[in-house]
Amino acid sequence: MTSPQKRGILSLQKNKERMLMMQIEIDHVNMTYPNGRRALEDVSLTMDSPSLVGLLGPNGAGKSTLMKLLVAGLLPTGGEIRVDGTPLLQCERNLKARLGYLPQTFGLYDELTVWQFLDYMSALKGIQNSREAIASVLRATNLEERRKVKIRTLSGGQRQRVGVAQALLGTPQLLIFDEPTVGLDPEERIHFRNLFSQAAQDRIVLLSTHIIEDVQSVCSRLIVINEGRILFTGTPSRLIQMAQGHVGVFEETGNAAGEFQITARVNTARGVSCRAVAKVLPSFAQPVEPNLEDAYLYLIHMGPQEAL
Amino acid sequence: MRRLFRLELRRLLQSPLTWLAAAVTLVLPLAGYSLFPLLSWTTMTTIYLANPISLGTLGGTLAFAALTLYELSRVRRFRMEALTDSAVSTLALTVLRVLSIIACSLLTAVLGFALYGPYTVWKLDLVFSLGDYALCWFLVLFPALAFGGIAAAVCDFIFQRADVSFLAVTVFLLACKVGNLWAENPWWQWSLIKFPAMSDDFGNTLLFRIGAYSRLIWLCLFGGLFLLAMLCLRRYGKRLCGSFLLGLRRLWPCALAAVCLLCGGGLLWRNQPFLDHTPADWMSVEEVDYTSEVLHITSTVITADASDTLLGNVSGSAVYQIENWSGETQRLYFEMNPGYTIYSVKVNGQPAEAMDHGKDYIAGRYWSCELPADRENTVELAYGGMPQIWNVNGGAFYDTVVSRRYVDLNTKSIAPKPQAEILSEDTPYSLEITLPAGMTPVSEGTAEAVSTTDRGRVWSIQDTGRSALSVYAADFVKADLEGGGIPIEFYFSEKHREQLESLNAVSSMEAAVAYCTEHYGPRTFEQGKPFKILQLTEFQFGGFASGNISATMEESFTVENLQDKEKGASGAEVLAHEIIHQWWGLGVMLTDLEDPYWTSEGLTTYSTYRLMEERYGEDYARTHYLEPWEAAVEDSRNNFYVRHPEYLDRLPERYRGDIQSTIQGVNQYSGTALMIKRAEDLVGGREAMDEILSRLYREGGTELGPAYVTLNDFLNACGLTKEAVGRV
Ligand SMILES: [Zn+2]
Repeated sequence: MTSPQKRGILSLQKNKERMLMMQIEIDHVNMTYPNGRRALEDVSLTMDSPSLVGLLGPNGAGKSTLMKLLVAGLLPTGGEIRVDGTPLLQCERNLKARLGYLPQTFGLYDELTVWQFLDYMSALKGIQNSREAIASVLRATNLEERRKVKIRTLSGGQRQRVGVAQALLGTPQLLIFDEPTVGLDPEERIHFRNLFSQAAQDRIVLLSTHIIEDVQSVCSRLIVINEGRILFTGTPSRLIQMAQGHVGVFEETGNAAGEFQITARVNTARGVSCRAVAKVLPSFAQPVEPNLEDAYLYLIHMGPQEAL
Repeated sequence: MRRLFRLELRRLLQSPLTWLAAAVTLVLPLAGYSLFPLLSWTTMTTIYLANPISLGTLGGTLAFAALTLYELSRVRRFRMEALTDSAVSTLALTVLRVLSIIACSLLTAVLGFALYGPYTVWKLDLVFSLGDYALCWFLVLFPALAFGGIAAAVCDFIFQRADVSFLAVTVFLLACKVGNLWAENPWWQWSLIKFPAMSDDFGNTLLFRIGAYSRLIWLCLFGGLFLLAMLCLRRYGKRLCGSFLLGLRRLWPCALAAVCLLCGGGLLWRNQPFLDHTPADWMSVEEVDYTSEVLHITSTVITADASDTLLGNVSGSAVYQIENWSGETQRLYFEMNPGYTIYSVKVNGQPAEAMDHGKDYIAGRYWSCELPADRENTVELAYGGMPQIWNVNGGAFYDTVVSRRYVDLNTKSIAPKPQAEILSEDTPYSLEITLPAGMTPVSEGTAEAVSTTDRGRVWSIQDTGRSALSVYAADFVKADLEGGGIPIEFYFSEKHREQLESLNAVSSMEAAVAYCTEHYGPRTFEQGKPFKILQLTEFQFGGFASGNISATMEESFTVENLQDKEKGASGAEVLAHEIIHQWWGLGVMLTDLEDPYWTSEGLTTYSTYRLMEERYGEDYARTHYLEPWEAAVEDSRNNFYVRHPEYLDRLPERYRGDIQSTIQGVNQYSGTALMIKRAEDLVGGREAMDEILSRLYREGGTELGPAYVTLNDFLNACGLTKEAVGRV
């Protein structure tokens, strides 16, 4: 027999565990916009906490659509998304209570100061100890000095940081950032990368970007998406491994022809050095060790069938 | 939810725009006092409560609609949808936002109640009623602000555009308020309730009952529309139709509730219990006279209960003794208030069937039952219901009512009125009526209190030679006016007792009665019955005289009327003027088809002057009457716009109306009185004029019939022309 008090504590702990652990399943999801544009096609994935998932893909690949589906901003036209086994629509409120989201494009209440804005957002989110929560996200996003400034007067990068700050409020269990590093300078970028990887230690952080560097060193998992389809899902090293033997360099001479895709041109003392990916490297190319960018480009250009 | 509501409310209270909307609502009443009075009646409560509240209500409706639209579009304006939607449901947030705006409108009403309280109390003084004052703020003003917000929200949910929505709300408001189609109909008045005037002395119960009912109708309708429009809120990136269909699927209980509310509102509207169903073209309806020549009433005994001051219901039973002289079965018709139903009929002790003829006509409706061929018949009826008022002008005549402060039941609202001949002048009529405590009834017959029950006071009213009578009850005080040859009883509201005593009004009115009786002839009434002059509610709109009862509007007793120098030099003299109207206005009516200035006012003013001359001497009359008249006419003649009427047309309508009514007033009172004074000189002095007036009073005119005296009738009697008296 457990005392009622003890039972209370046990259930509290269980609750806490459930709050901390999270699983998101995306099950054969399709999304076609009312105008007929098909944004996602038969997408299936599972994400468990803790993880830092990088969502990679060119512009228009369907990254933002996928994220909007995950935050219940859109309804899939086919398939289902489940959070901890419950269909998303049935646990929308519960999800929103555990969610931090930074959309790709967003506005802020310009008339408010940074602090007022975050105070409003934390009130919306129902955060109990808002003063502390705001102070902590201001610290995390380097906005402490700007807290009394009207949002109207902020620069693009500063606004982006306010956007990140509001997402971080209340340490939500699911963080979704859509192109979070747009408009940030390189130093800030590195800062945020670290921030995300720290945050991902006990929760799910989903990060979409088209900049490889953002995900290169920090993500435990990559999802590559193009034209609404998932091309790859796995660890960065697995992706690199797949491009092994498909990346080469050669001097640009003018008569180099064949089935390859030049991914970079570097001016060297001897002329222009080209880096290319190909299903089968041409003979004049010198195979090199692929990096993540090579692997990503190889995947995008050669398509999933060849890669997988 | 409660947390979010508090958050929104706090945010709104910190926003200057909320305060702007409140300020607009609370400043506009100031303009209602004299700058833009919406109602033309001049009771104190109309001027110092109804007018300011009306303007505040209309302005506040739009102000709160604008505030709502500003707040709802704010998320869109700052492109904040994505962020807020990731934290809370847009639907919940939007609904809470509208609710917090409604809370702000309530706060505005509370603020207005407190701010305007002292001034209103001071101005209305002895006619101030806390209940009416509170109802004006919380039944008239507050719901209008809330409805303004809800209407705006409904539009915004559908159009997602603040400008389009504001336009839609404004057009809807104006269409209901000034449009030909709906302005007359109290049920279309979702913003400012139908507000014809306010009574100082007799309460405004019917006004507020109808107002509350219309609030209930619109609460249902707006509630339903709000729930339906809520389903249109764009969600999950869907457009109007998609969101609506999804809303229907996921929030079907909401849709169901919306349909129920809309249907409920529609039913309330359709089955409103206050107005009768007289056809709009009532003037062209051919009235059937159901009065039977072979049926004769030999006695009437009514027991009625008019003590239900909450809903104003009346119930009663009636026993009529009817002689059937035809020797055949006959149909006996009754005319009764359309709000009543006859529950049961017994003819000679046997249950009979009552037939409802169903055609409402001016707050009346016919019922009938079969009478056997027997000579002597006893007809017993049980009846009751809520008395209805005539729907003309949207039921502006809020007169028939049972309320805490006033009971006004005319003949067919007391009991079913049999359409049969009265056997003789002595045919007894007896009414035992229970009235709310603290009231004194006035009716054609003699009233006597017989007992007190827990429902109120039972009065026995006896009369003869009639098939029905009317009862007016309020906190009446009786004053006997002597000097008219017959007993004249003057009844006025207890509220004015001190005022009238201090004015020594009774002696002044007695003097007027004596003067008119002596110079023009006795006011003719039913033989042997006292003549009763009654102060009655403003909602009668103009005095009336019927049988031995004559009503004078409460307007005559307002502080402002008593100070009206055009009518008399003092309050007591103004009351004398009002009494003289019993001869000029109610005895015969002065009117002219061509001359708008020939009204009862001119001759009444002239007679007042003559009375004062008799009482206080020529000098007094000259300084207080003749000279002010001449000055007023001179002033008006020198008025720029009188000399240059072409400029009058260029003025804004409001100023034009003011100037025109001033000019009209001067011409009706002083101008016409001076003209009569001129005629007096021409016919050979006061006595000659009195003789002419006496004849006109007794015989009436010829141009429009004996009830009227036109300018031509007057001039013909004097043997004068328009040119001779300077009336061209
Ligand atoms: Zn008058």
